[in-house]
Amino acid sequence: MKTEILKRVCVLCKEICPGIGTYPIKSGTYLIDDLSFDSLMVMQLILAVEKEFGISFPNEKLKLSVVSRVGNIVDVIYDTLNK
Amino acid sequence: MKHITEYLSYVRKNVPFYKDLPSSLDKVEILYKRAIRNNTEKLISNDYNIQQLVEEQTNGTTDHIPLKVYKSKYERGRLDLQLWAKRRTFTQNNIRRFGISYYSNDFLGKTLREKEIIKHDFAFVYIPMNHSNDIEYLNDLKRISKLGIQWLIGPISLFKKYADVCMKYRFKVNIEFCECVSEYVPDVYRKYIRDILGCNLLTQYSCHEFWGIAYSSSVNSPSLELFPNVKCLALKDKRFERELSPTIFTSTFLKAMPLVNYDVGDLIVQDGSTIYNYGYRQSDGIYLSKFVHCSVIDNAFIESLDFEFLPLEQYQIIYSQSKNSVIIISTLNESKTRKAAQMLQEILKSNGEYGVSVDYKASQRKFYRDRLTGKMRAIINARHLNTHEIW
Repeated sequence: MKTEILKRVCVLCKEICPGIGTYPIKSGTYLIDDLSFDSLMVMQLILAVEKEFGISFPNEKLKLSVVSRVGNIVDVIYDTLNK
Repeated sequence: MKHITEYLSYVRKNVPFYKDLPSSLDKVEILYKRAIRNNTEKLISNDYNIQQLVEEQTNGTTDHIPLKVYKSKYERGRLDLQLWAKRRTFTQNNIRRFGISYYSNDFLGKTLREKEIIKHDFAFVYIPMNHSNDIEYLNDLKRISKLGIQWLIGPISLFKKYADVCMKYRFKVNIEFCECVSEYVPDVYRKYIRDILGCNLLTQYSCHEFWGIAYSSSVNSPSLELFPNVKCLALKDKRFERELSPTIFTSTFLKAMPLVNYDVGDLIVQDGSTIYNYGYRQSDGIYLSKFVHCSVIDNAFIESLDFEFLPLEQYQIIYSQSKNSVIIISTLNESKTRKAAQMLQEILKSNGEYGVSVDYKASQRKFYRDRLTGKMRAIINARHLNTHEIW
C-alpha cells in the first residue's frame, strides 16, 4: 500500500514542481534539498495530499523535520488512512 | 532548558564569534546591530558555507543599510512551515485558497508575475497591488471573489484600500482572514477593515529574520510558547500602553547564524537572565515622554488628512531616541509628506508635546520593497542621513 501511496505522492510532486522532470523520486528524497521545493510548494503538496487521499494532514506533523522527506509524508498518509 | 544548553554547546563549538561563550547567559555579550554587521562572517557557523545560505535582510530603518542575516534553506523552510501550521490553527474551515500580495514592479513581482496555482481545489494566487486607480483594485477584488480566496496576506495599507473600494462601489467580498504583514495595525484600521470586509484580522509581526513569527489574533487565545517550558499568556508593552496578546510564536534555534543575546531594537522579553526578542520594532512606535504611539497619529491622520496614502506611498514615522525629539516622516510624495508632517506637528502640540520637532524627508522615488515583509522602504539622500543609529 505504501508503494501505491508513494507513486501518487510522486505524481503530486511533479504537478507542483514540473521542473523535476524525470528526476527519480524515492521515499528517501528530500523536498528542499533534492527537489528545490520552497515552503510554499511544501504547503501546496500538503494541501494536494489532503485532497488526493481525502485526509486531514495532522497539524502536529506539519513540521519540516517530518514533511521534508517524501517517505515521511507517505508514512503520515499511511498512518492517517489506517487510523 | 536542555534545548538551550545543547544549543549553546553547539554555538560554542561551531561559531567563531562565540568560541568563548560563557556558560551563563547573563554574561553573554549583547550584540547590537553594528556588532552583528561587523562580525557577520564570524557569526556564521563552521557547519555552513555562506554561499549556500539564504540571505535575508531586516527592514532597515529608512536611512540605514538593512542588517543581513543568514539561514540555511532548511531553517527558512522550517520557519515558513511553522507559519503555515499556525495559520491552520486559526480556522476550523480548512482554508485552501490564499491570496498573496506583492508589488508588481519589484523583485518578487518579477519573479512571481501573475502566477496562479489552482489545483485540487486549493489556490495560491499572487495579486499585484500597486495600482493606479480604484477600478483596478475593484477588479482584483472581483477576481478574489471569483476564485473564492478566503485568506489574504499583505500589508495593512492594501486591505484598507480594499475596504475603501468595497465601500465606494458597494462591493461585497467573502474573505475570512486578512493577514497583515509586519506592521502593527492600529485599532482604527483594524475596526474599519473588519467592519467593511467582514473578516478577521491577523497581524504577523516581523521578527522572522531572527526567531520566528509572531501572531496576534482576535479569534482565539492560545498560550504563548517561546521555548519549551517557557510560556507566556500575555505580553504587554508598557511603553506604548497597549496589549500584544494573545500571541502565538513560532520559534526555532537557528544554527547557521546564531545570535545568542542580541538587541536589534525589537521589543525584548526578559525571563530571569534570559533575553528573548520577539520582534516588535521600536521604530514602529514613537517613544516620547508621554508615550505617544504611532497609532495615535494614525488615528489622527485617518480623520484629518484630506488625502490617502496608497500602498506604494506608505509613510514611516521614526523617533530618534538619542536626539530625543526628532521625528522623520518619509513618503514617496513630497507634498503629501510635507502636509503630513505639518499635521503631525499640530497633533503633537495639541497633546502638549512642544519639545518635539517634526522633520520630513522625501525619498525621491528611491523606494524599494523589502522582499521578506512586503514593507516599502525608502533610501534617503546621504545628506539627510543621521550620524547615529535609529532603531
